[in-house]
Amino acid sequence: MRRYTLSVLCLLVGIPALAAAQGFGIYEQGACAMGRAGVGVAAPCADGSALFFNPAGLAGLTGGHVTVGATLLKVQGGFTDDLFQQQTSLDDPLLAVPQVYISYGSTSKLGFGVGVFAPYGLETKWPLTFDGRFSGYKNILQSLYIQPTVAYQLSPRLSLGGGLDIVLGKVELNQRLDLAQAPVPTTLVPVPPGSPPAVFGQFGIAPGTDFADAHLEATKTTVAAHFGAIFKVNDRLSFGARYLTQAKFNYSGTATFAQVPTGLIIPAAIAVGPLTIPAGTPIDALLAAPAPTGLGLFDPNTGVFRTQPVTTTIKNPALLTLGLAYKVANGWTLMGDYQLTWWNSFDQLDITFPNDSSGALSRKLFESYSNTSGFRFGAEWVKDAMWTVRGGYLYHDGAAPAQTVTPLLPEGSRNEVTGGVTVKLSKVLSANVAYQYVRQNDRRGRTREALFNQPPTTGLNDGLYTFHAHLFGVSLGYAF
Amino acid sequence: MTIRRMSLAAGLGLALVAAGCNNEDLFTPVVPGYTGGAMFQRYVAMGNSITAGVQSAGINDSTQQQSYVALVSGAMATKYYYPSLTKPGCPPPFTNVFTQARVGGGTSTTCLLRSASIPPYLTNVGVPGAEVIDGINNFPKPGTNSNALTLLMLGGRTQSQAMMDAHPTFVSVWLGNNDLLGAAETGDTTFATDTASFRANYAAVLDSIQATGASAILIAVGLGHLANNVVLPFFSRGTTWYGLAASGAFAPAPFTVASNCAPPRGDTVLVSFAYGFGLLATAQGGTPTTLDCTAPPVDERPEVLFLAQRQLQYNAIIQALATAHGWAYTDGVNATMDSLAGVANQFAPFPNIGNPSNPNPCSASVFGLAFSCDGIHPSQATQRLIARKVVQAINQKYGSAIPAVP
Repeated sequence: MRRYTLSVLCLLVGIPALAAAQGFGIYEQGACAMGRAGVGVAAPCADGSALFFNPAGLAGLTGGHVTVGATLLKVQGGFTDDLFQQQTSLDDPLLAVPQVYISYGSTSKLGFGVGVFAPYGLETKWPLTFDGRFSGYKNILQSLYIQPTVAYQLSPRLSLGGGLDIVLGKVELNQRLDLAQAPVPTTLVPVPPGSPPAVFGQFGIAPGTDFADAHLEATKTTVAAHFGAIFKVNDRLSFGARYLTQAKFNYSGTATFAQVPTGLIIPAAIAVGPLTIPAGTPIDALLAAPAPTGLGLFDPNTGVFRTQPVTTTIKNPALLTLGLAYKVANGWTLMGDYQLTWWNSFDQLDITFPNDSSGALSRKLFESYSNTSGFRFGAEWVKDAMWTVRGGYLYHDGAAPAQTVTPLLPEGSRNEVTGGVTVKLSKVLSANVAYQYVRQNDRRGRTREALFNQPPTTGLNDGLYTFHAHLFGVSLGYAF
Repeated sequence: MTIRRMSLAAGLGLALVAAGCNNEDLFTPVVPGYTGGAMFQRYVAMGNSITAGVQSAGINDSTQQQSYVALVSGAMATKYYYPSLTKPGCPPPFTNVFTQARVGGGTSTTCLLRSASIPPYLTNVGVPGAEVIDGINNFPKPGTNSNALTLLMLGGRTQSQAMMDAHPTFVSVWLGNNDLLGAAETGDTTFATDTASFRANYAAVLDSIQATGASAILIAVGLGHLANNVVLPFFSRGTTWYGLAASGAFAPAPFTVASNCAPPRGDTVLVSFAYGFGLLATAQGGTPTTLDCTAPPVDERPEVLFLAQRQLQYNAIIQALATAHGWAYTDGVNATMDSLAGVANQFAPFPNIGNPSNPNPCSASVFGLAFSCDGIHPSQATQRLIARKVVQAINQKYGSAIPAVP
């Protein structure tokens, strides 16, 4: 039952593709805050989304609030290669990302609540015709944060809040394997010690020859913590800060492989080491057949590509947000946030196959992300008791360095503009709608990983990634 | 808010927007700057051993870089991606055709793998031994001539498939020589591809090019017109063998050349290097041997006439197909070789063995300056002449201004 419940939650809190924050961060955790560019650490929205934007914001809330919302994402983008100028579009469908916040102010000073949100995650889907399929054609990182939170107003000026995050993580990588880059067993083509093995490309196999499909999936639950503070200088000016700690996942899962037919036939008899391959031999049969006539790569018990355990470690970075809010006059409030994300924790992705003695499967993905800064500006106008209008702009730089812009996450610097409105439907019901346009700078990147786990360079970059998105947020709040 | 603060905020905002709009660029392939250059952004060559870059009965990275395709690509200012064969080669070229010594001490069965540096696509998809049918088919299709290099160079693809994978803008086709060569080497005209099959297979090759939208040049079969009495130095006339034997050039080996090789009959008989020198080697081993100019694999007058006519028929077919597609056709290579044949030392009438006990190495141009050390494949200098002819023909047909091959 517990597992079922968690699965439903995971479905509910889906994962946006290439979401609108740095790296694989996701900041669209409520339609109210979304309308003002996510700004508000010093003055969170009163819809309970303070659970994400600043836990200290729960202090001072009166009564209970339940907010259910969703963000719809329409992502558009793709890759154009230098070589043939061919464009490949992302395959991402329209995605919905729901949020749930439940909060309750038990006294004028004490508030508590629980939020379910996904501040980190990604899903990138590429068509199988894309050259990047050999790096990954369907990549999913999910992090579902369940955060029970308590906040207390220490004084009329200072509120503090904190929560414990139970983080359910899931990683899924799907990629094709290119026979041209696959190592030839050294029993067939010996190489000097320390030298890389020969690859099938040296037998003429053309780059882009799919011969296997790899599916890696793993789950892990870990914990993190979330702290926040709000300091009101006076009735107009307030400052806020929040800190979300790193969440480290030591994933352990399963890798499965399926053979993909190449349809190629050996056109002439050829001797390779102890193996004599007759003319007319299908390459697929050669790869699959057991020794001595084949390589037995897909043998379920002994093949390199048998189902087997896989491990990796991924860290969701720590996040610090500092901000201020200033009530100008006539219902206007201006806000600004600065956000620092320690993306340098996403440095290297070691995908290890402990049972693979050949060592051919283990991958080392050099991500080398840099810490990023985000600047958010928002304005809000309370027109009357029924209507509140807001808008915002944000900019953040990219976490991925120039040599790590890949099909896994071709991210970069972004400019985003937002707008939104709250309408009070009744004494207890309110609705929020918001729109956000994301425009990422066109960024050069690569489709392939370096051979044999070598660190990548910008020399591998072979085209241009483009990305923009339209986000629509809606939420319904109920006060009790 | 003061004006100063507003200005500061506006300045900060503009700075952020400016920083945020710094797009990077696609690296668009450079369009060659000469007239018509856009047509030659990706030039792909289909063909056989001459296209692939065989010299001296071998091929490796060095000879591949001397192919006319490399030179034409250079003149076009377009990429030359070839299936680089690691030295000494597959097989390594001869260093001495008489002793069969090859580069690096290799043998006819030596075959190293391709270089570990794999190009993203190939622009030279020519495969040694290919006939026209091999442009569109591989083994097990009957009649194909797939070999180890078909695998090492194309990885199981056909030439057409590899050509199409390169998304060419321009293609050259030089296929058909091997449709005749087998018949010439064996003295058996049934080995020559019949004209109907030749036409059908060639048309299929051209259909695959048409499907890419590329333009093309079709190069006539041959390295000289056999009808003009121009013969590859791999073949020597019976008369020559007869004369040398009569002069005692083969003594003291018990080697005899039959009188049916004598002029005038012997003038129209062609003896291949492989056959003639095979017999001579047997004699030098002490076994009395006779070269008879009446039996295969010697090409007698009817076979020679057949081959000459078939070459013309093939080229008529190619020319008609080129016209039908609106593409360039050139017989200029044959014309050039016809001219070269009249120049001293270009075509050796008989392999220059020198001292039989210490035969000349390949560096002595034993088949003449125009040919490499197998008497069939062009020398590096001739590859350059071929490249010039190809460029001239392209420019003439398409009005382009590809710079001359230096």
